[in-house]
Amino acid sequence: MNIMVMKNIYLLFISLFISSVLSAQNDGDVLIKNGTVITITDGVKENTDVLIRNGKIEQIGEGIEVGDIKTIDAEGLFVMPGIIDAHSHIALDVVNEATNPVTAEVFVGDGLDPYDVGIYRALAGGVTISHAMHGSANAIGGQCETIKHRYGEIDPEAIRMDGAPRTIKFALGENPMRVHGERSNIAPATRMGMEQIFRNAFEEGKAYIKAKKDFASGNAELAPLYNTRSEVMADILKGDIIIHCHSYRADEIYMLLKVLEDYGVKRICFQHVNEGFKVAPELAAYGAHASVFSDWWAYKFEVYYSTAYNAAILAENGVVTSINSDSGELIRHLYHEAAKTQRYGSLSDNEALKLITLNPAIQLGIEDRVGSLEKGKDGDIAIFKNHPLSIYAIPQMTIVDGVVRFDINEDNYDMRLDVDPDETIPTFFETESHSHHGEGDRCMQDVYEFLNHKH
Amino acid sequence: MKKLSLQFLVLFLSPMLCFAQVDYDKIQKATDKVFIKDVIIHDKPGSTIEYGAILIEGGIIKQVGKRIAEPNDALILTADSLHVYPAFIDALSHSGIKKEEEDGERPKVKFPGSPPDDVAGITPGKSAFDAISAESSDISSMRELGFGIAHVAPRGRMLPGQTAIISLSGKSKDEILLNENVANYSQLKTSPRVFPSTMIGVLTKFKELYKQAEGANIHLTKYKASPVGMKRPSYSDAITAMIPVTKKQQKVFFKAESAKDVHRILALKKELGFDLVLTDVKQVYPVIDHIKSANVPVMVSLDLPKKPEDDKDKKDDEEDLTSEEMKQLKERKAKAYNDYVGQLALLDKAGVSFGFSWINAKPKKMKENIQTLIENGLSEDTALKGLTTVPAQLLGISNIAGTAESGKLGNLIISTAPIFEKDSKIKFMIVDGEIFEYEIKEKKKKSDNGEEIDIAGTYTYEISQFGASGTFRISAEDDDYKVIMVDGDDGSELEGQNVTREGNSLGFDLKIEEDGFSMDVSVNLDFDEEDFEGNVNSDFGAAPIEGSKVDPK
Repeated sequence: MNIMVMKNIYLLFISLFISSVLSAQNDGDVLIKNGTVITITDGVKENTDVLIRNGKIEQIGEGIEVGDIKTIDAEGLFVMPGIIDAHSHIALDVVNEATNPVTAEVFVGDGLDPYDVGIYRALAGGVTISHAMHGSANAIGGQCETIKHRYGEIDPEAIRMDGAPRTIKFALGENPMRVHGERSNIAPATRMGMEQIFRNAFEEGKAYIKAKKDFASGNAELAPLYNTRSEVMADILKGDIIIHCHSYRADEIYMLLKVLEDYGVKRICFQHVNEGFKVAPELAAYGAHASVFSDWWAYKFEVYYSTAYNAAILAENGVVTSINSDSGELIRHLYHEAAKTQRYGSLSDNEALKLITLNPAIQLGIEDRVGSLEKGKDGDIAIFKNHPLSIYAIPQMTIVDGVVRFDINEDNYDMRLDVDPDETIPTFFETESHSHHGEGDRCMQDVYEFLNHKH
Repeated sequence: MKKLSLQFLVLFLSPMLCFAQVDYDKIQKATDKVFIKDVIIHDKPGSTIEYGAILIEGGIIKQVGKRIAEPNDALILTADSLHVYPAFIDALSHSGIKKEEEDGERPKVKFPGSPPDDVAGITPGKSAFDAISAESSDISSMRELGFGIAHVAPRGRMLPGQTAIISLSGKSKDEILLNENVANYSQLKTSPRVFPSTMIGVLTKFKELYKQAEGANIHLTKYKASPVGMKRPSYSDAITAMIPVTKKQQKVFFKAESAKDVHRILALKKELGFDLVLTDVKQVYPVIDHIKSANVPVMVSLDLPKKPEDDKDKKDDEEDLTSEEMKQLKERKAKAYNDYVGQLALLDKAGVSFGFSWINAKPKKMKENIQTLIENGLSEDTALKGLTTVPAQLLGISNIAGTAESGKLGNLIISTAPIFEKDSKIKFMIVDGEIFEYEIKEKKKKSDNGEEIDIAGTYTYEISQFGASGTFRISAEDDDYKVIMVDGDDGSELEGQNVTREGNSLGFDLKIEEDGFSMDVSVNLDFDEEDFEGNVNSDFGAAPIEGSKVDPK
């Protein structure tokens, strides 16, 4: 073979490679045959097929036959909606901009990391969507991003869930008090100060809206100087952004409800909300949501008073409740976390599974597109061997928008997307479990350099 | 005894010699014409004039060609059969600007969320030219490597300031400026402990400043038209300095090293709409099609990864891996290396022209790295374009620089062989018509040839995996070496034990004690003239370390 021929073959190979990259689609076609389909909104259907075309569920029924399409044999397997995690910090290069008690202006969506192998690990636990959140260092942290786990895409834009409502992180209690009060000796140093921080920020938003109105109506010659923080506060007041608030104690949860009531802000989901069981009727009356851990507490003083019955009590009181991970580890077995509500609270299978599917979808404002298996919804699917609430459940395959993103049979040693040719294997000190902040609570990531003491 | 007294005599007489000296700098030169003849002229990429001649007069190329009459009043440069190239243009670097103490004491700020702009690293109006030292050794060393013109960005954090184009003629500061306030230099570099302390803070701040500058511009325009009864415009220096960017009167050279950062900066450009130059891009291969479709100029970094070596990979922690895992890992690392060294050939094939910037890459490794790229498919013409015509065009100086044609600045490289050939040496550099001659000496032999280099001195070190940096002081008495490691954070000193030297490698042990925890570490460093690379090994694993000599001669 002469050099020219080799060169041409090489060029052909390269061009094929490039065109395959360009044609990589986020929306796929797939037919899942003969599974036990857990729809969440329409019962459990045995021996049923799910057909996904162009990333959307086209049909659910028995004996669906279509022509040439990728087909998955799900006989003996359980097919459920992709799991949704309403609180996580995977796929983020930055979690906390911890320099100010109010940083409404920052947006974690500017720091998405599509290369994070944590996305793949979440897929391996059946999770197709997560709420990538700013941390809890500030009373008002940054805006968050709802992401689809399209692992394999390398453009940060490609993992955004387009059209998902905007969300923002608030935080109550010890974290902001410690970061700002203790470290910088500025407000908030107390829970009283916390309330004032929120009120000041909302007042800023109100004043900004007025200044813009004055300009628009010709009462002012100039528009106010552009201010990102005020823009965001104004958008919260207008109802365009859902608040997700890190919280533990019942008294401060109630405090924030009162503040929001004063400013007419309706959409709020409390996160962690360990003492939510104490104010469940009040939360339900306000229409506030709750996203909780199944059985995790006592990791700091304000979170000693808790119960594993929290999720069940909240749900029974009519609060839209979900179970979240806040962790790159827990996110791999949220189905197992949901199952704990059957031991602590006797929830039904469907009620328990709602905690990790439809309910988090409602909390993120995406329930019209995901969270259950219905015609027209996104083709986000988790396939399990054994019932997902069984201790023997093993995720087999996870599909996002009709594209298989995890397959237990294709799980190689190294699933990273980017390999540094200079790299060495991470050492003892670099593994996250040995860093100051453990695998667990990433809410305070990026903050530790600001604190003189360890936690 | 006699030798000593002679030295004494010289010492005694030297003040007198000073009196007798003449300031040669102020003597008018006999001629400002330089005639270079019988040379192979690579006048521009893809074009060669065999055995031609060049006449430079007053620092400007007057004639280039085969038949040029030899003037009788010119300095004749004996360069028989040598190769002449237009001098290189550095598309962006910090040449001539002293590195600041980055880990030094930072001013105390009462409210870390709203620091003064300069503490936050927001100084878009700051001039690079003000910070340039004409005496900096960067200027002569860049020139020695073939550069005639440098585009210099200030050092700093997210918005370091305004760039300047300077001549590397080595003349006084008054004479080297070609163009000031050329472009805005930006990067995703955060400000420790104050806002913006994260990359998302930097991006938010950039967008806000941009929109504020747009608003300020509207106000200024209205006020200029009719100031009566209107609030007087008063905006910060930072906002004011961003106005030309929003009006597309000034380009933004935005540093984007990784593919991920390229995506982020392209998204930022898409949102705001400024004129972007992607700068210092190191990881190109995953984003070639994105760069092409965005249709933005790109300045790539020549900072190549090291070629993975098989036997160097044997480290304690890697032995835990199964042989199949190890095999796959090695294959992936080898593929990643090939992706890096092959990426510029692919970028060229995709039809994207690119220049080279020198924010992170070491100009000293330019030739070696360009050779690696050429071995992996890059054409010599494309490499030459990236060093000459592409930056000239981007910087708006292609009418005066970038090629060796008449009318252009007298900036030439005269090399013993085609410039990218392994054995080529630069014999002369001509910048603004000034001639610099270099002694052609055999390259210092490395340890495998038995010759040792002098490694004593002070070096910076960086162990990026641990985020650790500081300095080593290495001294030698006969063959006994002493190493002191100075921690960059707290200034604590630690002396290396069991120091051994073999060839140009130095090995020593350190006992690190902190918070009642102690760790034995062995360090191996391989020296190459003024730099070293090596490994730090402990029971917990290995980490790469690198560094370079502080203030080399």
